[in-house]
Amino acid sequence: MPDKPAYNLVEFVTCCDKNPEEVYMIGNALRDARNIFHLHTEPDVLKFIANNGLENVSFINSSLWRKNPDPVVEIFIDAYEFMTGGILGYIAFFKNIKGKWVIKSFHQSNERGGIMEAALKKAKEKGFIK
Amino acid sequence: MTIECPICGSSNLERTLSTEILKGDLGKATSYKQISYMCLGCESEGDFFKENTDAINLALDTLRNEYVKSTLDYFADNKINFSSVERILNLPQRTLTKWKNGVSQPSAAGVALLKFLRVFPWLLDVAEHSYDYDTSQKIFLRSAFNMMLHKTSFSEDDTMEAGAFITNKSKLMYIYTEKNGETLPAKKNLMNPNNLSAGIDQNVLWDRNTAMINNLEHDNEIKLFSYL
Repeated sequence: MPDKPAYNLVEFVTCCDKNPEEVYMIGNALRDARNIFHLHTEPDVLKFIANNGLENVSFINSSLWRKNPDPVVEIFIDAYEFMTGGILGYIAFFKNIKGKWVIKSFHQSNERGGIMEAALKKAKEKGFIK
Repeated sequence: MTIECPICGSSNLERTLSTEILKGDLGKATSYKQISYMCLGCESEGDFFKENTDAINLALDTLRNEYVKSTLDYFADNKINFSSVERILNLPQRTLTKWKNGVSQPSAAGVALLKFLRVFPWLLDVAEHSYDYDTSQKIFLRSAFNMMLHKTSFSEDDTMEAGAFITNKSKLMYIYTEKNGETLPAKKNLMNPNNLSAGIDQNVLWDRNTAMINNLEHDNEIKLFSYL
């Protein structure tokens, strides 16, 4: 599992802003966006992302798209945690073979305290806490 | 014309039409017809050709009208005069009537304001007091106590002790109880609000019908009777 993102996050955010028709959302991602973040439509989600709605973005991992019907071409999915309001969110996206962005997941992070855990780890490494 | 899955490029797509429930705020909900595609190639599902956005926006409009109606009906039911609300909030006169009659539509910000007023009607009182911070805090606490009182059932037998904390800025009256405990006869008279308030500053707001806190999670608790 690569420890670096497969894609440029800024490029993704810019595309949400400038070329929203080039971005697709999987049905579950849109349903979660509606139920968790009050973002009801795909344009609502893309405008939110374009407007720097993903605060304190933190890269989690990059993993292979398991349901890729063409296994010859490796497609990676980048996953990030972000904050919005008081919610720790999770977004996962990839670029398909045609160069279109696909938002695969957009929900509340299951890694509760992930950012806090990372901060504590960093603080421990620097000797701020034991 | 062949349609392709925008995710993987497969042309093996299944189109379905379903009725989707759109849950809104204030417990409201509405429904709309949703077009969805299932790709048998990559097993992705969604509104691949962005056909539902208009239907969702229409459903959201329906919900918005529900919020407006709900709040304005609440004002009418509680004898809250529209003109007063407009004066307090510095809205042009007849704004609420126009919203109610559908002559004009509130903006998203206007709808948000109405939702807040429906859930926290005491915000009108805050606005009436020019959003003064200290006064607003008192209004908030008074409202909270009032709400707690309506959820509280207490009997004379629960009461064990009562008293008041008075500082130069605030006064707080309380009753301490032990649920299911034995009542001390000497403490019984503390249930009489006249006895309770007699020893403290008469400026203390005393309204036994409107202010009390009861923490139902604990057997021993402090009930706040009044705060000013």
